[in-house]
Amino acid sequence: MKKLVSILLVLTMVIALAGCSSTKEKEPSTQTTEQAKETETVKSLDFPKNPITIICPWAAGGSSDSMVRAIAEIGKEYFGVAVNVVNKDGAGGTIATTEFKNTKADGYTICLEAVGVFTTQPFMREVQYSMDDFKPVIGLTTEPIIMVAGKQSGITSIDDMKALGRSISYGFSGTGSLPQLAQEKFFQDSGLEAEGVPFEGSAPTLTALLGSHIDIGAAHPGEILQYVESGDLIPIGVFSQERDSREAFKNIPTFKELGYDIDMSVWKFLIIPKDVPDEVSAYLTETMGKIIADEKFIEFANNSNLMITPYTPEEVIQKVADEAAVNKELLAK
Amino acid sequence: MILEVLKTLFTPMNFLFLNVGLFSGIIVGALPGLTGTMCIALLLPLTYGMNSITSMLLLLGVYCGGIFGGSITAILINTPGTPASAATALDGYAMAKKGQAGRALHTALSASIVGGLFSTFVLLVAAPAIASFALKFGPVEYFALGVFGLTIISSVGGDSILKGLMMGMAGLFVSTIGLDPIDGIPRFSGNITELLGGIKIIPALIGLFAITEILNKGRNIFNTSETPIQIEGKTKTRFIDVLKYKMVLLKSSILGVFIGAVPGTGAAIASFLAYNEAKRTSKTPEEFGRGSEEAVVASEAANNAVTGATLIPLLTLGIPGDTNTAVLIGALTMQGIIPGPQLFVEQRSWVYAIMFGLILVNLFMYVQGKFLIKSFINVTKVPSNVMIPVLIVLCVIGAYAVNNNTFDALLMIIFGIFGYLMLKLKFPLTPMVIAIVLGPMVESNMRRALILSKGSWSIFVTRPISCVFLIIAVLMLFLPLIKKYLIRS
Repeated sequence: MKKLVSILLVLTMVIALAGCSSTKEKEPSTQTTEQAKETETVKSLDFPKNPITIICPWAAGGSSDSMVRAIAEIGKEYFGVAVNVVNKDGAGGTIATTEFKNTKADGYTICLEAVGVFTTQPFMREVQYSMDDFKPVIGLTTEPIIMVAGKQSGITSIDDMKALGRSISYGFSGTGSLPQLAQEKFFQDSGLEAEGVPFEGSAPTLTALLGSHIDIGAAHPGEILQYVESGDLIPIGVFSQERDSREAFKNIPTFKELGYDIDMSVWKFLIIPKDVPDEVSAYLTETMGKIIADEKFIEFANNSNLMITPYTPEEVIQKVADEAAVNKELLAK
Repeated sequence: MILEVLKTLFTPMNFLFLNVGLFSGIIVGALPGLTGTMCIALLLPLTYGMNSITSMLLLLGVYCGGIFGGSITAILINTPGTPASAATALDGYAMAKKGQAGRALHTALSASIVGGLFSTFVLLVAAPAIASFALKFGPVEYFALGVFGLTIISSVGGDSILKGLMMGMAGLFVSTIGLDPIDGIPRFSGNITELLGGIKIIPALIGLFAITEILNKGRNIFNTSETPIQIEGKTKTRFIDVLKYKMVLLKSSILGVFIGAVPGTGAAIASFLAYNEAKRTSKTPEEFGRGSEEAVVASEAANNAVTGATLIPLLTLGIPGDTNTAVLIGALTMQGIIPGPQLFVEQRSWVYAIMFGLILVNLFMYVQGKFLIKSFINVTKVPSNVMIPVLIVLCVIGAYAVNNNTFDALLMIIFGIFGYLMLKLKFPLTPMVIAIVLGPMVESNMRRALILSKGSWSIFVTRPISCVFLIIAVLMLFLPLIKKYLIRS
């Protein structure tokens, strides 16, 4: 009996503790309030008074994470309060987004999103959120998707693929990702025989390409730049309306030029719950706009090969709706 | 050139930040659930304004320190601070229970240094050659390597191979929960959104090791007559002592380097493989699991040998070998340095500075480790009725911090209760941990390989590397049985 009681005691304690940590998280700490008041000058709006949290729905250390951390670092000067980053990884960003729907709509918690969370994931399985649950803050960055071939595959152009006379293997990061959809659409439209191989992230995809385990892959400019320069990977085309004008990429044709009208790129933006007051969301949009126009952010974006695309909230809603329509059709096949 | 390299390396700033990194790495590594990866990500913004070598030394310090730090709690309280130390907990904790905690910790430290230095040496002399070998690993080879790794289950399963295999199957089942890696279809997740992402190794690990142990100890918490563990008089061990396990050190280091150089594997796999190999060739295999120093040496040399080796694909190809090095790549990108084939040619002296820096990291780790062990050892003197509540708090924080999610803390408790029940029924827990670590790698790569071969299974035996691994796997499984049979007849 004694043993049983002690086990029960331990259990209740554990459960109580787990409960505590969850409630604690939701109460914004008031440590930096004073500091905030000092920097508060002419603004009539009494925001922000507490630290701001940006949720990154991907793991620490990835490209999304490093961008959020750069914004947080620069953002604390503009907001006058601390800006924290919280990573909630899992299921292509959908876990964090679902949870974010129920966050307190006070504007102190902002969530990063990549477009696929709204334009591909909902068509692969049921999700508990939609764009109507949120308000976009601002568009951040865009990364084109470039198709590359491994050096040993013998492929340097679409004609080579047609002449190969065998089935082509293509790799990408994650099921339902835009690099997958773009390549899938290309192979559908061209009628070439091919099979797609999903990997867990861009690094394993590129590793498999470098080791000649797959023929073709698609990834972002920053990820392939050095391999293209060293000749290990051969660029085939970019899935955008226009060529990437940067020096290293400007010779890569668009798929439109090559006769395949496929326009897909990964862009990221910030959202807040839809009930955040309009003054607060307008303030966030304005301040975030200043942050991503800061020269420190521009330098970060250049180093990481990101294009800064500060879409307005209305543009974000429109673009998401347009792209969702295209992908829905593609994913239904 | 060497002079130039040394000049850029030996600056007060470098030494300061290297030690800051090591210290935070060891502490964070020792706390269950908090891993070096997290610490590196947190320190990342700090490195913006730093010189690139200083920032790399800081982060490499965290990386190496984190892997060693995990062993401290593995040995003292049977709670591996990171998955890399799970194998160390098996015998390290058994040693601690015998009152040899100090000895176990010092042995672990010395073996870690040997493994770390060995891998740095390999990195210095053979990085490009090893990197091109590592590229030969595609889906087929990863699958075979994973299957080979799973055979360890038969040797860590304790007395009953059958029970070990059952727990291994349970672990494989757990690893299938969540979105399936190829088609993205939810499996066994019910309507729980949090389960879609799959069950993370850290909550499972803390649950199975730490919570199980806490529940077990909790039974005797009111038993005041409990005699505290007597700490053996002579805890001083010299570095030389570990060198009597020459062969174990060498084999484990080679295994660690090999696993580290192949991207996407990790230190946890390396230490279990080394543990298994040491047990297989040991003169006293019956000591394994009951507090064998040799076992601690094997797993520690192997997991630290991974550190230098993961830099091989990182520096030569720009490919991260594990999550830690993925964050390192992020840090370098911010500095405008892109690791990869170009780097090796264009910035040779920078690359060598990092390699020599890693030697320094290992040397300082010995100094700091010696010093920290002295304070950590006192943990064994804390009575369990004080220790247990503190541990529970640490475990809950650790599981929560993995993904800032209370669901993971709940999962940890469920695993803990399950582990406790299994312990009472005398089912071994380690096979389950191994299966949870290896399951996803085996499954996703098998399916990838079958996509590439258009469904033909022969691809696994026609590719040479894969074929060799599968043959070894079969031999590992059946050799003990054949041996037994031969002895009997």
